[in-house]
Amino acid sequence: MKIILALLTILVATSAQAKETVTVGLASNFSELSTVSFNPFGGYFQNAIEFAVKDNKALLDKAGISLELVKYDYGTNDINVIKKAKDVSSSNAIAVIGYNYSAPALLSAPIHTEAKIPVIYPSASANRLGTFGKYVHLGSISNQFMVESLAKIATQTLKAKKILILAAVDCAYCMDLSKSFTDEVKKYGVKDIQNIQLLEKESDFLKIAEEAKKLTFDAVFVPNQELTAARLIAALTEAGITKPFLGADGWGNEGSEFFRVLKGKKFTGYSVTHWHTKLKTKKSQRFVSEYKKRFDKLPNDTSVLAYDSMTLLIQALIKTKPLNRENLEKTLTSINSFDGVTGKSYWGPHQAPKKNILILKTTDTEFAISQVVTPKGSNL
Amino acid sequence: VSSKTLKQKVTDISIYSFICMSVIMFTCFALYSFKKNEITVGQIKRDLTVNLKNQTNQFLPSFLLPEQEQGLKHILNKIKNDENLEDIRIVKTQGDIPPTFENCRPNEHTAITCSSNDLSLTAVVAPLKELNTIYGFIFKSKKNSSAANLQGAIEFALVSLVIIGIAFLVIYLRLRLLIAKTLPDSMDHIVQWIEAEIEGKEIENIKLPFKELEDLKRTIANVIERGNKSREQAIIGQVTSGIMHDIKTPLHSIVTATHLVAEQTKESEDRTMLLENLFNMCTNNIPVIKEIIETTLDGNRNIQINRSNGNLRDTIDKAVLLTKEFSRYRNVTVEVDAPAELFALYDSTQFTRVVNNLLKNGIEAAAETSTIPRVKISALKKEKNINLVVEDSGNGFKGSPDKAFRAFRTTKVRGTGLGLLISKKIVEAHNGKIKASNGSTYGGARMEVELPLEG
Repeated sequence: MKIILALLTILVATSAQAKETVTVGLASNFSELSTVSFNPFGGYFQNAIEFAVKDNKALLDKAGISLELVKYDYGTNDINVIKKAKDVSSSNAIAVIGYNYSAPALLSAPIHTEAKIPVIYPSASANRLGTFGKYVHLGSISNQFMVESLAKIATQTLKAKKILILAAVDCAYCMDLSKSFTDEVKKYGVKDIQNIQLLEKESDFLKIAEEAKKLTFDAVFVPNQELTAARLIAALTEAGITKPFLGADGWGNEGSEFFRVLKGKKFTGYSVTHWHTKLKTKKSQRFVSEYKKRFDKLPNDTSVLAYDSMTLLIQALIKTKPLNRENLEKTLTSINSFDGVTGKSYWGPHQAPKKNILILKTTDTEFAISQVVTPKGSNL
Repeated sequence: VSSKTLKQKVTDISIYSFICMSVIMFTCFALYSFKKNEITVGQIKRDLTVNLKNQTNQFLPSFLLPEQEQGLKHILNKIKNDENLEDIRIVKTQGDIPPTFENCRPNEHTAITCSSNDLSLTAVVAPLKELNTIYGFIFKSKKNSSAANLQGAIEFALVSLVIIGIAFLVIYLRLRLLIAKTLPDSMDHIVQWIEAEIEGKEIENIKLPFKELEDLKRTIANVIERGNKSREQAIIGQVTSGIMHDIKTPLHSIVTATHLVAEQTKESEDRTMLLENLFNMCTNNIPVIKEIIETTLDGNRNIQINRSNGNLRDTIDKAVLLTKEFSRYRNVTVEVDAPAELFALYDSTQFTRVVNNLLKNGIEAAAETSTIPRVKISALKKEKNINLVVEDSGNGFKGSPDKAFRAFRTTKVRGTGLGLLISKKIVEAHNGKIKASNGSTYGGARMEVELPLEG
């Protein structure tokens, strides 16, 4: 009897133990349709974050952590990013995760660094993000790593000697890729690189196509986001350009939006991505199945990168004692490898992770995995 | 005395009016252009500022992100094309603003609008600001609308001038027609009408184009009527003298005959003969004098009537009898067409004069002009009056028949011209009506009398 009473006392005491509420800021465009995407991008991001929290609920409960997720919606206006970044920095949030594109990430990074609040950018890939140092943590491979693969495809697979680049000048991601790619292909001896600059909100892509038609080139690099890239390729193929197209992770991997714009136009295209729904790993298969079950749609690379980043953040939160921004930053900095849905990755402090990337080749209706590229000198 | 014709006057007035209207039009146009310019500038200011906030947000990443530096030039070009701008640039200080915009002073807190020195362009200068950091200013300028420019103004003025010119030509021709033709024609008609009125000729009723002319005609008619009455009064005086002269002759005969008798002694043999002569003189001349006096007096005084119930048929018969010798002598056939009983309340003595006068006039007219001279007197009893008509086979009235009732309007060789006037007075004293017209039975004059049954 005494033993039973003692066990009940311990149980009650355990139950009564108060959970520590930890606030995490979610920064994204949750509401407006982006000019570069038909999809409200924040939807995939938010779903994946909630998915990750639910998947890790047992661990959080065990650690006595109750996660409070607070959304910071900056819409499609990049300048709002600055205000929202300042808002979340001055809040009680222990960390912030989000800013899915390079431009918002680059605008927010100095603010969070100054406010000393750890921030994880799941999908932003601008090379300069790796230069901010403390408090900035990256979930995506860098643009540099992507263009290394793309330069090889352009010069070795496609044997291109003359390359045309169509980059949106008001897009930090696009211009970063354009510069890195130019530098990279030059290493392979390509000297004839031509540029047609455009704006993301350009209304007349046929005019650009007409301009491109006057030039001579072997391949076209389209380092833009999904919708802009698809419209450009559609305009160029319609103008009779049959040269192969190259793109980065901005083209996406889920493909429904991309191919809807192209309306069955035939072209040869290569792009890189972080992950693909048809990747035959257990974690990936389970993720796709569960995500579809929960949200009635297929995940995209934003989803999977957000899921992995949130899981990484939860692991860091569980390990951090006592929980505060400084201690969390130390924990995050100490983590140098992670095995997520996108595969194994490792990184140096505040650097873009090194992990396998996928080379996709376009078919008429989808992106198909063409090749898996492993970073040089890694053990992946 | 003006030597200008109505046509010249109309032309002068039209030219002056045209000049005045042109001056007014140009003044109005100048005011309109000024206002239009204000509205245009206001619209351009709105066009320049409406998208400023979004544009500022578009520019700022170019300042904040080195990756997007090159984007600024493209965004500026796109806005320049989209908004049809004259110039767009990022400026750091006022010194970077084109010198043609001297009064454009950048304000760090708000966007300002300003105009170029020659007022042909409107500009906006807005700070590129993120929280407390200013990265510069956006300067946009746009040409003011061509609606307010000189060429547009001249074209508008010329078109307006042509329209006003055509309008004035139409007005001028219409006025000229009205004043230089319609008005003189109307005046001619009035003059003809006055002449006819004075001469008693019949003329078709003239239709005048203005109320003023109708009023003028009415006034002239009144003046003529008053003139006629004055003339009648004067003539009455003259005629009275004549009548006195007429009376003097029979009176002198009587006086002479009386003197001849007075010169005789009672025993004189001639006395009886001279007394008989005096009696004859009196018997013949006194009725003449009496008739002259009665007739003259009735023409100038109100007729006194003594109504009594009587048979108008008897009065007609009496008048026919009285004129029997008169008509026989002139070979005029007098027909009577009236019922035996035509009782009414009237003065039979006075009415005998009326019927007698009408019959005599008819007999005289028929006798003078007709190959088969005849007069018909008819009467008919109606609900409230007796209708008596005398028609003859004479020439009828040449002028207005109503003028027959005026004093001394006789066309006869003998007579005072007072007969019909007195007849009219007697009929009107019975509250009746008398009307003269040209008859259809024998083609001569037709006199119609309405005698009320109850007086």
